[in-house]
Amino acid sequence: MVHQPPTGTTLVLALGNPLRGDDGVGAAVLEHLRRSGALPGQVDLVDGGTAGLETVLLLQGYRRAMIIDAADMRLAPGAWRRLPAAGSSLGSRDLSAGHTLHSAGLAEALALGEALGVLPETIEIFAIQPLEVGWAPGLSQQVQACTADVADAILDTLSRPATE
Amino acid sequence: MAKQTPRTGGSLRVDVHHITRVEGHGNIVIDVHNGELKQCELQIVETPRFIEAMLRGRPYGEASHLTSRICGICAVGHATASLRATEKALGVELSEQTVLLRKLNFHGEMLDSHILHAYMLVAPDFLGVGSVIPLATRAPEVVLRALGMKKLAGDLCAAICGRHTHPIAMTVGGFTHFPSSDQLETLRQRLEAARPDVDATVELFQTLKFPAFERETEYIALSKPDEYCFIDGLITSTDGGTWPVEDYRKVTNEYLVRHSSAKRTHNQRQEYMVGALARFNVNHDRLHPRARAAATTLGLKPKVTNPYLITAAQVVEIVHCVEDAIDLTDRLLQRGIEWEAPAPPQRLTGEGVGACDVPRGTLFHNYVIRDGLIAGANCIIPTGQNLNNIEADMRALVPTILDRKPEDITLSLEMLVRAYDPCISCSAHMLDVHFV
Repeated sequence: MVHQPPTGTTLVLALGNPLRGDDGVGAAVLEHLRRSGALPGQVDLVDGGTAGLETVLLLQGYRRAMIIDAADMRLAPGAWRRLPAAGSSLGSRDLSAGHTLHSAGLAEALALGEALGVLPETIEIFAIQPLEVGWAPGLSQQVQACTADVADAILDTLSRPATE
Repeated sequence: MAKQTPRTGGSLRVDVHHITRVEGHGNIVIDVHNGELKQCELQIVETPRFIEAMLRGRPYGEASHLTSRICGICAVGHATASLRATEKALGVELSEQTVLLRKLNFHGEMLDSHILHAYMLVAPDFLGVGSVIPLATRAPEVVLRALGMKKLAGDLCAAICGRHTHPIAMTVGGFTHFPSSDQLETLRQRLEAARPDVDATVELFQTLKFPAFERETEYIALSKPDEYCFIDGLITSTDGGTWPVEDYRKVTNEYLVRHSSAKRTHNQRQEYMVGALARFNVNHDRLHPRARAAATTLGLKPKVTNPYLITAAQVVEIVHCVEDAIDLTDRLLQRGIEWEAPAPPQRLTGEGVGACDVPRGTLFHNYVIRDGLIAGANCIIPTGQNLNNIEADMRALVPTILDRKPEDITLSLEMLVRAYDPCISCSAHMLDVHFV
């Protein structure tokens, strides 16, 4: 993926690997949004794949970001939550204490972005409970069923000012 | 992470479980009793992954995709070595365009890996912080520069081989996708625009005070007469001697030790070094002039025998790779990118060895192919080749720093291991493969 510099003020960023089952839910929601024909202007849709610390660079330059990712929240498969990135317990690992950059993910990227002072003012995470993050492409029925709802919620959010 | 027992009468035990800021899991164990070094080990505790066994029975076209998964950092290196092994086994001759594109792609990965190591794994030690996160608070411009350069390197790989990691467009005999002239032109402009960042990188590492420690060893790298070699070439030693890559077993001489799940190697001494510093010592006169100037700025004069300066040699290679990538894009733009079908195999049965000098050193892939299926495979990874040398460095270093505080001794040892940029996950493989 060659990412283009921001053209809009709002980023909708999908994270995850569609080759690993429900981890591809972000890309599926993004596809819903692309096909909706209802996106307001100034919104960039980006499939961030499995980017590690470089996710910071995807977020840099936007005022507002929505991140779609699978997350194990111990809910029923397909259940989803909106979480503000600030104050969320994403469980960022201390990179100086036994973890390698191999294991850097969204939480570490957000911690780095915060330290650098380059994060958008508002970041919301749309977290979706997977049934299985396995070794084959394709979403489970339960997760597939929620993608339209998540896309609608994002469109609804996009239609409101960021401060609401 | 580290445990030290207080010293009494010149005794010390250092036990670093899971060294941080290296890829994979390794331990350092040092035991000094009454001034005598009883134990000095770099223990590799990573689980073997049996990649070579997975290859058996698979069609030859899958090998580069499977083996690129050995590493998320050196994926292009593994794929390239894998393709060269298959191409030699099956008599595939590459076009000039394919060779140029592969070299350009390789530079992207070399840059990505070296920037990661120099800025995010090594620099925090010198700037007195525990990781890249506090470094970002203290010197955000440094981390943003590193991330920006990494992004350019990743975008280069994506333009040539379809994505940043685990190349999909590189295939046996060529490519299945080609960058457009516009993409190459954009890349060229971005590489040129990165020169100030490259210069700032040299300036930053010039200011770092690398620990003083000298231990001369055998330095091994691939070499070619007319270029700073990363792909193919001859195995070349600073102790004298060159070997065709097909004779890699005569150089690596792999064997097992009890405390490591990664095999050890030795050539003309008990140990040898591969990687950026070994390449510099073997091939320094073939560096781009700007890279040679950077080496002078960084105080590198061959033969460099301080292993802490591996990082400085990586910075020199960052300069070289940016400049050579600019030259390669110029050549590609000048000749024009053409769609080419991959060169076909001349046979479906044979044996071949592919060798590349990847960021951490010389990498070998050796395949036996029978009727288009992989019948046997052997991959020898750079970090495995460096393990004996790291231990020999530790044995030489520890007696010279015994008067320091235990935490300082531990830091010196960790910094030494980190200097080698070890990819422990990649080097752990205990499989014995017998070609039949």
